[in-house]
Amino acid sequence: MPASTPIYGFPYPCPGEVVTAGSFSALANAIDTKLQDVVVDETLALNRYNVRLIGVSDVANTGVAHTTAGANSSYVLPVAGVWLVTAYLVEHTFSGAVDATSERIRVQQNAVTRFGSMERPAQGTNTFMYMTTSGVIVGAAGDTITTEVFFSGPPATLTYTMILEAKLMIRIA
Amino acid sequence: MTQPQCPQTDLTCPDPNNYAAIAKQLHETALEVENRLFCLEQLLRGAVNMPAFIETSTSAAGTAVSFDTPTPLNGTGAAATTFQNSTFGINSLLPEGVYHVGQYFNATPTGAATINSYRSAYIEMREVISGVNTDTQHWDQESWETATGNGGDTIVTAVVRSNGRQRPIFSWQHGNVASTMQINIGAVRWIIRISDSSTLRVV
Repeated sequence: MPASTPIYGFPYPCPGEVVTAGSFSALANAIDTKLQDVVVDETLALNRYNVRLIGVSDVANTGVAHTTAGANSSYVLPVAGVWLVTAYLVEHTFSGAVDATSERIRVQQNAVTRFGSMERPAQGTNTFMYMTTSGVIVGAAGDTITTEVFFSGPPATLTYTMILEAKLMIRIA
Repeated sequence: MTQPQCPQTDLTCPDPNNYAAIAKQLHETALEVENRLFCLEQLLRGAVNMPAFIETSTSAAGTAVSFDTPTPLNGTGAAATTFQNSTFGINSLLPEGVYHVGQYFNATPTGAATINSYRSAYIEMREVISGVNTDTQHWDQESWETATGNGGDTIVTAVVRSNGRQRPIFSWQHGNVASTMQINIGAVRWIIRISDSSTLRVV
């Protein structure tokens, strides 16, 4: 019964076993397979996942935390790792005069808040203010990254577009 | 930092006409190849996966009314290591190099909120020189609390340089005169090494 190496399981004949051509091919194929894994590793290392998603116009209501919806509003992590995630709130307008309002954006992992930023927009009518928040998320493959917007008006609604960026910093095997 | 070297000698060969040693030779070949591939794989991962430390608070950290006074957060409250592939931690001297650092927290008043009061997150690099804390490379980000209930999401990130004798100090400061403040569970602090501090000259 052939034995195998402790890390990658390369097969080799045990003492007393008949050594055949198959013994050589089994070992060679196992080594070749692992070499291909290392090549894939190198490719991934040189071309880290780096995505920029530009969302569509969305609306949040005053006093209600709103998870951004629509196309490009979320990102599913393709691999496990430490990710640098940035959300930009751009192209947004309030539905009326702004008074005593705070505005907050958050980045969530599987609907759990990981980080965010809060600001107070300038007072007035149809004011514009861009917001950015950036932080790290330790995620597993399949985790969903989303953004949430919250503001405390008046006015009644905030129309906005969110840009979501994610860059893989560290791979977790 | 000296890069470790993987074995580069030829694989061992069986003795001529010693066919009985073929099985043993295959065994040795398998182990030698495995050793070299493992070394290469570790070097590759080590080169691209820079050391990092990330922690997340697991309990609320309260502070006295200390408005307008920077309060360090390192080592206050309970925190769990979220990720670590580094030898340094949250209170360690950072090896010489360039780092991406940051902190996030949500702070709420324990009582009344002072309307339009600020919340600030700081990062500084501290070196003890002749027994004196010397803080440099100051970074901060302010946010403003306009009403109670929302809490203050505050985050600051920076690229800092360590001379090998410095460590990052994560602090915060607030202007909520009306009551004490509480930093809620889920506060995050992170240190990710980006590169060495010196670069080879390109000719």
